[in-house]
Amino acid sequence: MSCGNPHETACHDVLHAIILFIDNELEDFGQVQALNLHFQECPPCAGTLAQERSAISLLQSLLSRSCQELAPEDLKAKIVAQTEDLAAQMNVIYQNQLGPGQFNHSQFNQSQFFAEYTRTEITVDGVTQIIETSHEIRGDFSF
Amino acid sequence: MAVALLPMPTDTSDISNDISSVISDDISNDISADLSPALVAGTTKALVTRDGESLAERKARFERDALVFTDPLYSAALRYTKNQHDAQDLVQDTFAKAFTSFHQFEPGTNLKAWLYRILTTTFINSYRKAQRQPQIASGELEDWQIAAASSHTSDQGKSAEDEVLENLPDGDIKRALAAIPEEFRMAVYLADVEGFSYKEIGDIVGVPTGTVMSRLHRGRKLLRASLAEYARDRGFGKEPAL
Repeated sequence: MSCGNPHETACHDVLHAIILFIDNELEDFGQVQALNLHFQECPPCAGTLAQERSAISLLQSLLSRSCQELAPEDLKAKIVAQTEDLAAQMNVIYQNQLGPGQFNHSQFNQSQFFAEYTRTEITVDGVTQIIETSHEIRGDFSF
Repeated sequence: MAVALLPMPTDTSDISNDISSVISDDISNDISADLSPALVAGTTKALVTRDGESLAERKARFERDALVFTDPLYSAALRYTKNQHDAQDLVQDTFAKAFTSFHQFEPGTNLKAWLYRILTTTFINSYRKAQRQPQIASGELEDWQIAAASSHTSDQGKSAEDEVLENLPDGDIKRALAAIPEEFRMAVYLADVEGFSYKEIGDIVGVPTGTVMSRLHRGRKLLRASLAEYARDRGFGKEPAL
């Protein structure tokens, strides 16, 4: 597809970059400027640009209309409760690991935490508690 | 044929390395004030980060900055799991992992992409294997679907086709997106609904930017072709009789 006139940027190169141009993925500002100039000069490429842009923007609008579901309120409540509970558990584990100035955060990792989380026995203020949690963390909160 | 597995770390504790956040491991010697007086009065010191953030402060920051992404993460989880029950569990697991790894997230970097990365690895590690959804045999469908898309695009007036597609109900669009193979589906969703850049999508799903680009382009074509099919099945925009 070409208008038959010579351009600084060849039509072939323009068409090759057209999707990246539409998606704002061209990092070279000079290339963006060159393409803009080309689209002004070359009706066939400008037509292709308009067509592609319209197709992509239609798809985006259809998807945004239909595929942006809201999370159920009870899920949000569960996540809030879960965060509270995890923070409390982490606090206890931190306390257990804290020698005087000895705690090394880099030794804390998630898999250790989740292993601890299922079977932690803690003594706080002279009272021993066993934290009873299931392996499935999310199962601990019912509403 | 099943869609090829993406190369992914097997443990989300590796997430921070891939999303270019930095672990701040240095623990200051400061004593945090957020613990109960009984504990602080003892020999133990409270955990604080290098920046002096206590666990309680970190939790508050998590609630403020991360939980606002619950809706978009749920929507993405629906794209992955294709059912509400698994999507809810997936989002809840994602936030559990995100919170317990939150000290690895560097403030000021891309929190949304970091959460999507956790969502993705959690889905792959914990959910995908358990799913019994039949996979689309992508190799066979793609070619004719793409061909249909191309001919449809070039043969018909643009505005007429647009109008037809705009009349499709939400359910058709959800089903059409759900039916295309996962790697294409997620590239399209992350780019065209969430507005992530190619680079961000590459970080989220763990592939190079060039791969994101080809998946996105192909996914859009597949989706467009599928939507045109839905439109034809509903009797919209019938081809004129010869």
